[in-house]
Amino acid sequence: MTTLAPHRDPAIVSAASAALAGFAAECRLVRAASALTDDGFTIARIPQVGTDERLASMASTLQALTDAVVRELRIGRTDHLQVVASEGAVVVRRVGTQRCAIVAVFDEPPGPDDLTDLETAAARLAEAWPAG
Amino acid sequence: MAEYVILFAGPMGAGKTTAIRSLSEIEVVSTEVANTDREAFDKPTTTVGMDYGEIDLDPDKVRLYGVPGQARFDFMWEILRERAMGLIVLVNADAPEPERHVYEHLTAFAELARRGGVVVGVTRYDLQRTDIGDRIVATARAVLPDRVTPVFAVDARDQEQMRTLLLSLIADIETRQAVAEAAS
Ligand SMILES: Nc1nc2c(ncn2[C@@H]2O[C@H](COP(=O)(O)OP(=O)(O)OP(=O)(O)O)[C@@H](O)[C@H]2O)c(=O)[nH]1
Ligand SMILES: [Mg+2]
Repeated sequence: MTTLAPHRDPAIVSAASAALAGFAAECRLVRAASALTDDGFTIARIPQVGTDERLASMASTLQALTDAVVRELRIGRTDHLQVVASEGAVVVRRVGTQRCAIVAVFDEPPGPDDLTDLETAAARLAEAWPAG
Repeated sequence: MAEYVILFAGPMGAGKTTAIRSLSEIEVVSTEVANTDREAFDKPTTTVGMDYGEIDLDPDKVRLYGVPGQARFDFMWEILRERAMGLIVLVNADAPEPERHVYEHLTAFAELARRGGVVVGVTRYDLQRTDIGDRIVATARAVLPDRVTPVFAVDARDQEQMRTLLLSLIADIETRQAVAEAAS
């Protein structure tokens, strides 16, 4: 039996959409967010239109490069990664132990509450992840 | 002693990661993740960032970078091609139209091929022995009409074969440097 890729699995897509919608409702600062597979396919995103398709592939690259650095320096496991720019910020966080992450683009550097909102969204999606 | 930065390009499954692992004398830095697109190429992992390895070819030191083959990651192609001095395009013989991939990747990296050097390696030839050699040579000539582009059949898993490919690329780069110096 071949397992469906996460971005083609309706149960995972709807769980991811719900997690992102909850995140958007709680976090004012978020401009866009995507749930993505480790190899950079979009599972769900907000807003549904206007979100750059490349956000998912770029986030998977950032995550893999970060994991490589963490591995190389033997500093444990990646929790999340954060890129702070002059007019916004990007945070990538893995979804539990799944081969999936959430990337969020913020209008300004996120505060502790915003990071907690993202952590909650990732935890919700991990919990809702269909067993199999 | 010279230092060379060599870039491996080519489609998904051509063997870029495998080749760098065959060649590198240090533990490679890799960004392999689970491949969910088994229709594109049926293998367990794919590169989403880059591969990095190093080899000493006395007296030269060579840094080896591999890009992700999937075009969704072409922003990494831009970053890595800036620093490279030579290009190895790998293409798997069992792809539906290998020459189309050669065309696409030579075109994407044409500036590097002209500035530095280039060789083409046709991998997985044991799986699909076809007459694609002529078509690949013709494609390389069409993209880079003003230079000679060597084409080899290689097994990316074989260190000796990959060394031969790499050494011929470095010879190409050195020859061009010598010619340029003599002319100036
Ligand atoms: N039979 C055979 N297998 C080969 C040969 N060269 C490479 N392979 C296999 O082909 C596969 C190539 O996979 P990768 O090295 O991951 O390919 P890649 O170019 O890095 O692919 P992406 O990172 O996804 O773009 C591996 O399973 C290799 O063992 C060959 O000459 N013969
Ligand atoms: Mg690879």
